Amino acid sequence: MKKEYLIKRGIYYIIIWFVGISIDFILPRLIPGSVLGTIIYGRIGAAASAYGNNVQQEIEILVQQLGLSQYYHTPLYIQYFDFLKDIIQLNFGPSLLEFPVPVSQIIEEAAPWTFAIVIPAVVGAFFIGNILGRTAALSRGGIKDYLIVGGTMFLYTFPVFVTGEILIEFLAVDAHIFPLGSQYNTFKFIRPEFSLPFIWSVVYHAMLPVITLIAFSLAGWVMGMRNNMIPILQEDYMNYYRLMGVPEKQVSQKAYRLALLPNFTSFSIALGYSVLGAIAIELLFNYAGLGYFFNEAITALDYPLLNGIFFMLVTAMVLSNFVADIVYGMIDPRTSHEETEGV
Amino acid sequence: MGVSRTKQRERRFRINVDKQSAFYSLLQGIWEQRISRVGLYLLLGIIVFCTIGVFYTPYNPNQTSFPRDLPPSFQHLLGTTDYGQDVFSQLLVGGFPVIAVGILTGLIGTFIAILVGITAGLYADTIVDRILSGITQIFLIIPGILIIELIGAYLGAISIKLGYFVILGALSATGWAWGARVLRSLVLSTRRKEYILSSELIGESKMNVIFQQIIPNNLPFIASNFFFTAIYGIAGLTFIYYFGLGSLTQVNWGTMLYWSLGGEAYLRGLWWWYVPPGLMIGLVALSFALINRGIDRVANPKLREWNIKKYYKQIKENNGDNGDGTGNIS
Repeated sequence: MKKEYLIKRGIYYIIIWFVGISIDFILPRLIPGSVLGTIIYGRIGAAASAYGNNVQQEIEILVQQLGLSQYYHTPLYIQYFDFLKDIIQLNFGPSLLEFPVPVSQIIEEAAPWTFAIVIPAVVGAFFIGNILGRTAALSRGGIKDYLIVGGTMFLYTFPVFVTGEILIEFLAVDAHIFPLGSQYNTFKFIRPEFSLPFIWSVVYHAMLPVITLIAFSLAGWVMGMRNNMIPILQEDYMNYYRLMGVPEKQVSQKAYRLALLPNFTSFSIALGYSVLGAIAIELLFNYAGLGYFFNEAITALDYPLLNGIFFMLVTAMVLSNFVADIVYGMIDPRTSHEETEGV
Repeated sequence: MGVSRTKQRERRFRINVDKQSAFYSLLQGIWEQRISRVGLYLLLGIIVFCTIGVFYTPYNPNQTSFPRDLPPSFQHLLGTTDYGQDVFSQLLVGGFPVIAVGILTGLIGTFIAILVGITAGLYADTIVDRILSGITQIFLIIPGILIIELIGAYLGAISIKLGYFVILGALSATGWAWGARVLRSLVLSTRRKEYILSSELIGESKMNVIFQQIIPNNLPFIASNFFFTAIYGIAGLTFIYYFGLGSLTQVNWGTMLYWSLGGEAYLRGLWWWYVPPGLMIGLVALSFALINRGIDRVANPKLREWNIKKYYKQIKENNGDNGDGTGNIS
């Protein structure tokens, strides 16, 4: 792999990352009216006018207290540089929802939980999906093929949170197979420490969200595997293997390995997209990861928290794409030489 | 026998179908694949169901006077909600906007993708291409649904909820990137083909080359992109309503899901409230995905399943018509 290629892609993704976080800066300023003013007015306006105080003055005091005066009285470009400086220092200000707690602390506590369900889900879906895709490709046109392709596609098009709701109702509420809510058992006074009961509790509570995410992301792997493997099985060199007398099982094993390669490159992109899937289901499972707080922030109009989580998600997406590019460049040396196709 | 009957029918209606055109062969290819035919039937069924809902419902879907949380019965085919509404009536009414937003998102998104992709592909390696590709990359990497949620959250502060048109605009503005990127590389490879070069040499205008050579040759991909974007539209709409950013007074499958979530239907065993709308959304998207599979197989003949019996029969009949009499093919 060329060094130039790596640097070029790196600069490219840094630009995209900048644009992504700039959206975060521009959007609230494009909205007519002052968002911040509206919220503050909504919260204290009624009380202030009831006591006969000057509402404008109250807002000013609150703005000072929250440390938000830079958003009120400075020109736009200075605001932008301040914004960038804050973001690079991971300083998003205090959360409005849990007031004095800084946003970065909430994210720090929530992000590991999200990854605790996303990483097992992606790895699980990768293995199950590839094996299912291989079965479908080998029994192409048969009943197994139709069942696998149709079934996984149905799971994919089904809204992911409805899948979650159904699993919760039938497996957790009715059948009591899986636990309900939270990241570990909070009733049995298990402390978050490095001990066997705690780890088991975490695994047990993560199972249902992981199953939901796997059901959602299976189709991509199955279709990728099937569509890669069918043409490979018809290649001349595969026929040559068969003519040499290699057993069909070994031939399909060889085709499987070749078809696995393109699926590897999409692994890290799938990681990024599964974070999005997790965002959608964490509220259902009462699982206090990034998605749970994202939802809370939208409902409570907690913009600092929203900005922080948005920043995390954009960073995750950009990073996962960059890693995918690097992996692709390593596996397929042609990419790093191409001039026009790679853009 | 079969051939003469189709000939008669053509004579009677005088429909001039250009059987060599790209569009016709695409439709024929879709129809021949069993998987996409199932998708077409499914889609047709759902559209009929939703069209009935526009004109007729058993009860007024907004009426809240029924007993609450009734399980499915003959009076209420799918039971009632926590707010005393008839689920089946809501299901009938609520489909039309969802499908319309999905299909329109597909159309507008594909249109933007064609515009951007072909421009970038034709002017490759110029400043125009670099700018367009850069914008495409940004939309490709930063998830559109996330941006829409951010917009919705900011609008929420000044108590504006997203209406159908805003949702449609936002979804089609963010859903075109993937198509534009692939179309660009397709145009890039088509452009170097010899027939394009020769038609440029005999002085065909650029528009003619685009509409008569480039678009017909990439039609399977454009059609597949339409369904892909439509699936994105439906999924995006569901997400927007799930986070409560759409206007919640309208009755559609998205708001049904939102209210059932708010009523914690999944914790109280009220499956008839949230499973039907979820299932319908899933089925619409599934029908699009199935048709898409068929198009994939048209575009990539290695994935295609040939109905050998049918072709055998066709060739036999043709041979019979030629006066060969044997009908043999070796």
